[in-house]
Amino acid sequence: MIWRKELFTFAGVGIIFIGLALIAPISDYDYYLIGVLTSACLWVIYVVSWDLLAGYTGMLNFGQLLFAGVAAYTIALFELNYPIPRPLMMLAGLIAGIGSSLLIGLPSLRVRSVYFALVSFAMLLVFSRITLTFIWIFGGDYGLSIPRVYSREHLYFTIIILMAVTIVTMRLVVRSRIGMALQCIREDEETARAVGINVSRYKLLACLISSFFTSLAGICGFYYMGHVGPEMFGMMGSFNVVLMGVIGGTGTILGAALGGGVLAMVLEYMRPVAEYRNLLYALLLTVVVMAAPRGVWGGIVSYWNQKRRIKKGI
Amino acid sequence: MREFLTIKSLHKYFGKLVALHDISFCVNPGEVVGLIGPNGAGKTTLFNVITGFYRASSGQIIFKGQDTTQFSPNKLAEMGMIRTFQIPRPFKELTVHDNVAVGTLFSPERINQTHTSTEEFIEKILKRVKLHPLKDQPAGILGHGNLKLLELGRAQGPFPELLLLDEPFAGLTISEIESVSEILQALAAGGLTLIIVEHKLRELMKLVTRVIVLHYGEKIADGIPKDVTQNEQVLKAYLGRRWSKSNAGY
Repeated sequence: MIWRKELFTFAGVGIIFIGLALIAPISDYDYYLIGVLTSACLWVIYVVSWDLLAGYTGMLNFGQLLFAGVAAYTIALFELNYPIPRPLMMLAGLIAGIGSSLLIGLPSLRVRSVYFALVSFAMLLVFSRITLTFIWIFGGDYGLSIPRVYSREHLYFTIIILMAVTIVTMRLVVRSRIGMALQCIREDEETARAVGINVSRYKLLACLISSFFTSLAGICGFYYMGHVGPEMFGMMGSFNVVLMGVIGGTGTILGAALGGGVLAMVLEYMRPVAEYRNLLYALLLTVVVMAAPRGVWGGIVSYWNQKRRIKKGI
Repeated sequence: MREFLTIKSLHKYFGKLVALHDISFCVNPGEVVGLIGPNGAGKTTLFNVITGFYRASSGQIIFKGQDTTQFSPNKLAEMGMIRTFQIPRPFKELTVHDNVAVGTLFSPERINQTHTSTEEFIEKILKRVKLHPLKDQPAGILGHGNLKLLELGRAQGPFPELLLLDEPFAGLTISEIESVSEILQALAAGGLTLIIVEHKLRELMKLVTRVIVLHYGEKIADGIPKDVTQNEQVLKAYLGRRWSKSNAGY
């Protein structure tokens, strides 16, 4: 039943997936194009994972890339210092990434709303400081780099598969009992408790799911770039995740995917006007927030509903 | 028979303030108990302690034969002890239907025993609280009267065995009070145990089989409505010394 309700999502994700899979050989694996698309897909995964926390659970996370950064740094350290089998390294990276979500999840059990946002932001800055301070471990400003391990084509396909899986999984999660619990927690934690929802457990579960996909994306991104640096824990990255989510529309997953994908590409193609890029970006945010407070997707949905209601004559 | 709800010398302090002092009483299955007292008597605090939102400073709470003094609200809700809030706290962005449905998701065993499908159970609740026509609307657009009804409906979602209602009549018009009263009577007739905090005594007394009176955190009376309304201490607490019987000629 849930599958039929989500037919629209699956069809949409399927079409975009096929499009992305075809465009690679058609463009003859154009270096620039593949690079842009890869980075856009990674942003989509980050923003969609963020939406589960911010849009559904009400945990306005300002440190989403923390998970990805921890996973990437863990793998980089293994690659450079301890040459264990690669699957084990990835497992270690994934575990570290998910483990780091406790740093966001545990405070969320005590602090809410704006205060939680500040705590999540502070966590990010702590890690940024750690990587910059312990230069002999984390390479300071330069970060850690490794020679290419997997071909860019392979990684491209891995990442688009991961993106499709992330969006579909998230939609199924938010449609399930878990999604219902998360929305109740967002609306009113006390009432959620009063109807039998274990708030702590579901908040941590949301962190776990969100950090799982973010860490996987972080790992793929690391192998794609062959590099991870302190900018992963920088303000701009995680802030961008929030902006993309808000512009796209929170609390729908699809809006977040749209925002992440489109804005990542827009940002990339605005490189020629680099000086004005952030200005245009800020203008866009202002316009969207004023015209459609629930994001572009939220705006489309409410317009659609309104039209349908008029048609029905209600 | 195992104890349904037993409170044994319950104390609750906020710092040095004594909110509840040595409260003890029993509630039997099927009873409708009114919990009354002047403002600040500790009625809502008692609710919060029983339902696990506050921790008791000392004393014991036994629900369905288990010591539940340290249980969390969600655990108690799973066991069938559900509360409502004085000021309605709906899940605003969820539809009316989903507000009720949420409860059914997290304590499903009891519903499956008595109903063929969860959906049928939800429909029944929505019809009972007269919100069926609004079921696809988000709860955020409802007015106060309907929110109070929704609060009642949401509380029935988890198939409660004990329902604690915090001022179900607050802020309602006379006709709305009547319809809430009818719903509560129907629930009580169905065998549900109710504990009701209320200030509208006239309406409350028609519903309840027993009244417990709190005053400054202490239990001052416990009995059938007729006796309690004659009780010396209760009159003093509500009306002041001047109006109590012993000073009638004052």
